[in-house]
Amino acid sequence: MASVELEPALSPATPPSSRGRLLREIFGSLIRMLSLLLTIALAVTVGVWSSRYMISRGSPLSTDMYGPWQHWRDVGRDSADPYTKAHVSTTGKLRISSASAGIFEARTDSQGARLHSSCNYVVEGANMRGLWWSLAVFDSRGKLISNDADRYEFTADTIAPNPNGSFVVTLGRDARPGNWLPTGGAGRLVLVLTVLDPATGLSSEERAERNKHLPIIKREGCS
Amino acid sequence: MKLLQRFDFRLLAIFLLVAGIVHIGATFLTVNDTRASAYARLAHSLPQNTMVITDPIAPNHQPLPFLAPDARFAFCLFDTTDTPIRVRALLPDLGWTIGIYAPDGQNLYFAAASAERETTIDLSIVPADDRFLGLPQAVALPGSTLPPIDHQNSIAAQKGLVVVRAPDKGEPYRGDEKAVLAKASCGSGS
Repeated sequence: MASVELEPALSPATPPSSRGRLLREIFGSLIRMLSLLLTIALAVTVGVWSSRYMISRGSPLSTDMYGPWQHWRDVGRDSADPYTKAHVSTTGKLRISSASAGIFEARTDSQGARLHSSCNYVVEGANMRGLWWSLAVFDSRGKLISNDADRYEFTADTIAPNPNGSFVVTLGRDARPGNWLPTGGAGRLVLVLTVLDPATGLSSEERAERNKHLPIIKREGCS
Repeated sequence: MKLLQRFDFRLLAIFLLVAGIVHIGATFLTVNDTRASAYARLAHSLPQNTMVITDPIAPNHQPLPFLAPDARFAFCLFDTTDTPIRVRALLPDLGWTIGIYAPDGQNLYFAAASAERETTIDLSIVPADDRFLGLPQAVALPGSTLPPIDHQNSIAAQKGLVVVRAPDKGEPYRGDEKAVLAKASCGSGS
């Protein structure tokens, strides 16, 4: 019976330095492979996260900011960018085209702090002559905030304006005189201001002028 | 400097390339995913080619997120596969609007009333492919006794949503608003 002599992977004749170099190469390859896998995993995560963020929250590519008010520039239009289209189709919002109305969302006050139901706010708006508008408050998921007063929004028709046509709306848990919108227990808040263009339309200059005079949102205090 | 020398720029290039490809892919996948769109959400509860006045929007009845009770709504889920759809609505005052939306939320048509005079809307929605068939100005509906539809007042769309919006002016006006809203119609033979 013939005997087969198996040669060991590392023969005793291999010098210790070569063995060490081989081990280092194997270890180095493993590290490189792991780095590559980690890089790809991180890139996939960042790619998905950045896409979702830009779709849900917007970015300068698709939105304009006017103080605290965010405006999706091409919402409802055929020419809308993919982020805007994805925003509309995934959030379930029914938005009038930006060619026919200005729809503005605020998640922060004018100082940049998150709107929250534990705080009281004052929203001061200028006279929007001849334009129909509404200001509604929602929780962060777009749900109306239940309240005994059945108040969820004010419009150009239902607001009690100041003598000069400007208006003040207060947001807070406790009832207040005037145009008060209850927000108790909602957590983070989202204000939505809708301003319809007149039937004759608005020029881009008129639209820019309108956007300059959007309401300011002041925090009064938190509890 | 030593740190820069040891930094593997190939990994940075791979990171940027993969992140960019995934970002673009994820965005376009989401664009085409209309399962959560307003149309898809309303499709469960609305009949086709019929104008339906919804109950007033309230916390316990809010069919869509960020839909405010600043208006009373009438919806019509249309499908022009079998027949063109004729839409009629009266927009009597400032704040009244009518919009036609594609399933992905694109505004195909929009009209708002002016404060000076009431606006009557009478338009037809024809199958999207008809637009490319070189139809004449007026399209006679097959087997219909209706006058031909003026093609200039027609919109090409296969499916979508008609939304008539009556602004809420407060309790005293709600009856009148609902009565005007009830005149809005949407259907093949209406």
